[in-house]
Amino acid sequence: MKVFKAAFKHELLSSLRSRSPQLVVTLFLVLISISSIIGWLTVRNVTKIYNDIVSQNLTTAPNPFKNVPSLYYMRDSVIYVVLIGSLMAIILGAQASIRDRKSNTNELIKTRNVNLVHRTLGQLSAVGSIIILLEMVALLTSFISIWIIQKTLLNNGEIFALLGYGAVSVILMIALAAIGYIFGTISKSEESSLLYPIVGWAVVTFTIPQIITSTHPVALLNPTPAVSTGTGLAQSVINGISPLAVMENFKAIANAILGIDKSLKLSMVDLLSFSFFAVIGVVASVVISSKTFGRKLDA
Amino acid sequence: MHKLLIITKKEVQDAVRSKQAIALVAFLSLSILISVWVASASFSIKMNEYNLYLAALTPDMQAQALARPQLFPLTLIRSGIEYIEILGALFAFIIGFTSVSRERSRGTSLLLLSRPIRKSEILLAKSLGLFLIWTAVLATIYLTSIASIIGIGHGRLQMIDYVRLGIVFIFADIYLLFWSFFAVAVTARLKQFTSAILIGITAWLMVVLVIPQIGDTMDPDNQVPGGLFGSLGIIKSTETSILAHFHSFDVIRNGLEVTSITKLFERVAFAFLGIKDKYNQLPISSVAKALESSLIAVILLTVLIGISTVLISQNEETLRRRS
Repeated sequence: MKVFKAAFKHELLSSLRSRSPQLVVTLFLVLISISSIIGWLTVRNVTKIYNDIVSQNLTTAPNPFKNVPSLYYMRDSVIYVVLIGSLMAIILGAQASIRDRKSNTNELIKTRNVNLVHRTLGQLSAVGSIIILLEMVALLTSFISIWIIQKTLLNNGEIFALLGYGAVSVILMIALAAIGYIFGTISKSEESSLLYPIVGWAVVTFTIPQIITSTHPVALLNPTPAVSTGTGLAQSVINGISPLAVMENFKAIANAILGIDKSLKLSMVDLLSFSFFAVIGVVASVVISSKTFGRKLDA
Repeated sequence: MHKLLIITKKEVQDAVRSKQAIALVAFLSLSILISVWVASASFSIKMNEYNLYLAALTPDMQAQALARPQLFPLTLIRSGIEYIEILGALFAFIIGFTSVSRERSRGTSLLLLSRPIRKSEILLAKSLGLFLIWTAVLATIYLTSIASIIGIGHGRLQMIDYVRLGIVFIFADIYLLFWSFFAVAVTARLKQFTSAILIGITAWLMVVLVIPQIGDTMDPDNQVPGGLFGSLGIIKSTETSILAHFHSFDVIRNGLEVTSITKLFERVAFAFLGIKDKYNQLPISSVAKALESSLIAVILLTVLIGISTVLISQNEETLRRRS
């Protein structure tokens, strides 16, 4: 446990001192904070348009935004977790493992009797703690924004839903940080430790869902999961690659928890695939990183 | 050979030798193939559904049946264009970044600087190299697109379609050059490679993904499945007159969108390919006139970032290995 504690403390200190990821972290916090305001402005504008249409007797249909749940304003934050939160996590994870390689302290560690599994777990726990802290700040700002917008506090059920959504976001980001950590350990250069997982992220976020659902890549920036319109692929193939569409699974779970689109039901497959990804990500990170520890960076 | 051309040639040779660049190009070509395959499969399903619907109608009802779905072959590469918009920009940044980081990490930039050549000339030659690389890449993707539209999508292309596609790929070249130039400028200027990558990724996230996403979110018609006006049974002419009352909101939304070169490129590409209904089958000159400001903006932004890249080289420390 000594090794775990030391690695945890050291990583926490180093990550907080590191200035490189600050830009992405700031972007994440700012966008999550303003996402509910953007959502509110849009709903307000649509309601004004609706009222204008009704005043001209052009429709008898109900206002599509009447009685939207308070957490509806969180819908854009789901996509910001997929876009910015994920990349932020990859960067934090990769930076954690590459730091020692850059400063050659891994050579020193190799000379000591250090349990590498405990060390990796310590570092990952520290990165996880930072992610939890950032998500808590993001949730708190969303809570305050919705309070100001709605002029009423969220009820207990909504607070639990908000916390549940925060927990799922944290799980996704920790799993991605763990994958970033792997690339930080095995990559030949600092640049490739960032670039390869980011390209992988792009494939998981855009290409795989497109193959499964035939949705255009830009439409995948919608916070609600894409609905398949038929791709001509056999169902067995779709079932086989669906677990890889991690971001779509995350969107489905987040939607279900926040109750954004009631017509979309959460499937057990989404839940299991997502959980499996998170567990595999962390376990693979611990195994690969401890087995390949000490690789040198290219000069 | 002129010293500028020697550096340009070396730049192209390095890109060809680099497995990274080839992998990126292969990935983009594969994305186009997947896009056409998915789009044509989706169209086939739509056609089958239409035929089933038609078969279910009695002969006298068939005369009033819904119009048959029409395939406009160029629209099959819509997702491919979106890949160029999103991932192409990321890859362009990577290629621009590698172009400078390679020299600095190998120490060849110091060797270059010891020769009688100006730093601005080095960056100019590198920019020319990047232009040649992207032109070759996009020419390959242009041919891949045509082959996949004909071979996978079974689309029939007219001569005018080749021209439309050509115009779009010329603009794709300009768009991707913007990102490569930006990468060269940032990497040449900054001390740490990681900082250059992180600034690049943040800029890419904002310009390519976040700003267009906020613009889409603010579009009232994107808020309800099937569109707000469609769901309320409002026809197009009435929609326009209603939206005129909400002009200021739309000005803000549009203003936000045009700050993104990605959105500008998308508007140009979707208009020339007929993906945007109102431009479909319009003559090229009419599309160009309608999209004049977006066309100029894409070119101007790329030229400006190109000039900035060369100006950045005036800084004493540029291209030197400092960390």
